[in-house]
Amino acid sequence: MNINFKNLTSIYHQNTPFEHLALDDITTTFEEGVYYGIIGHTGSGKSTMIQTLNGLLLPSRGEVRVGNIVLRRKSRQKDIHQVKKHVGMVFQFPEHQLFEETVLKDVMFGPKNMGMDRATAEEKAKHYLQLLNIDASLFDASPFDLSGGQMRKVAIAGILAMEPEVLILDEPTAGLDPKSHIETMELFKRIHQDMGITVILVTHDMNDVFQYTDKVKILNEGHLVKEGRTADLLTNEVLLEKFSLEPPDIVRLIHDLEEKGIHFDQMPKDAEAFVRLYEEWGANHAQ
Amino acid sequence: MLSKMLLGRYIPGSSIIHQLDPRAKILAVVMFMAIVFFANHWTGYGLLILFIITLTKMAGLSLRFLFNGLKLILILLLFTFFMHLFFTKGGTVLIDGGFFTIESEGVINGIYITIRLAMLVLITTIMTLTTSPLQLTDAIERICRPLKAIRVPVHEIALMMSISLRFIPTLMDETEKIIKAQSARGSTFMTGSLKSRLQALTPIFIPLFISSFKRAEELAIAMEVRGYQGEEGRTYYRVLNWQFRDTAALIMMIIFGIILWMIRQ
Repeated sequence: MNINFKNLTSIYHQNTPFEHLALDDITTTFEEGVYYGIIGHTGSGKSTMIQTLNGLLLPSRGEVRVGNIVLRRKSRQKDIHQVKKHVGMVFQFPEHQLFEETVLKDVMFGPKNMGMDRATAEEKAKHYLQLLNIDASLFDASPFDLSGGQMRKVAIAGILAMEPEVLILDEPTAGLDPKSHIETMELFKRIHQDMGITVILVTHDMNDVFQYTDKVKILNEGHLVKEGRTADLLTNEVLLEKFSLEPPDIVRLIHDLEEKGIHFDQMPKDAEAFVRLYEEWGANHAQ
Repeated sequence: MLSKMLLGRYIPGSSIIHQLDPRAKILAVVMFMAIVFFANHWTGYGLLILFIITLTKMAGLSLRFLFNGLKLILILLLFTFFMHLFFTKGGTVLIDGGFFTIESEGVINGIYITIRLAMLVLITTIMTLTTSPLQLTDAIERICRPLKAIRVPVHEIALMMSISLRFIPTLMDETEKIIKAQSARGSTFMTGSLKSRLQALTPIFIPLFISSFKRAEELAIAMEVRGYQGEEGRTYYRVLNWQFRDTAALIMMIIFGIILWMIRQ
């Protein structure tokens, strides 16, 4: 299922002194099965863009097409509800949305809202909780008794259990310790690969964007300034600097090494790959 | 949705109204509340409207914007108008509908009272739009200071007020965020029966309560860590400075009141 933006413009507080143009005439496509990254400086319109993707915000002008559903300025609640079924959204600090008495009930909330019957919802909830390594003994515990990391996993399971075809992640690792950070990102990677769903990642962490995404869209002051393959755009330090974005650590390191005369055949995506390439290079140049 | 609320909002600016001492503004508003009742025929009401328009322009606010704010209490205004329209008797009978009559006194009174109410709301709106909530609480604390003699905990009350005011926007943001998060999970509080809408509020209120309690606890700890122990020995970072223009503003308000009193009929 593709998502298309056509001349999308989003204005906050229209006709008041607080009027603010958040997105200006954006036309773009999110293709099925691709892992996208949306990057941009604070206030560039990233969160407006993702909220428009699943009908939380309606366009002020232009339209959003999610599969067969078209959202415009005055769309019906029914269509908006449909879009939410297809496009799941994990908000920043998703653990703040937990409210039910038990973990299982909380995860079942979304699926039930989407019209699944009790039994199916429970089955889905259990499946996704297990997928996220939440022990079955915790299913009947109160979500507020869990640790921060576990709470976040439960909240994420709550979105996944709705089985969306597109998954939006808004700073999913904010406030996590390094180990949980890697675990969470690896989990989304697995979901993307195994279930073939489209993932849209919004983050300030350029290393994650570089390591996990296939394509990126760069936003700047409400304009879509550049889109393309991650491997092309994020290695372009001149481009990134123009929009005050930091290049990923590995890209900086590789460029430093190149200046010292060390050239690798390919661009490593993560630390592991870098070490492997570095050792290969060392072995080749030992003779 | 929530962001359209104008009541209690502050728009920063540098107009003469913005610069007035908040104490002067509060006193002037209180005076105006009394002055409004001096007007008893159309010239008086005309002057009141003119006065509010001048004030709005002086504060650099747009009239349209202000009247948008008035929409919030439109129901209240309409209710007042129709109450008078139907229940105030006197003058000539304009419409005789059998079981009800509309009489000329009713129409005139309805218009007058509605204007009165609108003016009261508008002047308080102008005050809150041009004065930051912190300034307002500061001013209230100063004005109420004499009450300490009769053991009213003025400082604590003012502190409670400024903390609550400080957290209104935070809470609004948070509410909006949670509403969004839950509606992304398919919660529907915009459609359905009243019962299902009320049920849809639980997923919003519980997270909101939890985070509010957490925040209150964190704030209390943060204040204690920084050595807060009540009013004893505290000095003020923002010192209110009563100037000539503040006195002048109050004098003008008094003169305006006298004029309105004199043209009474």
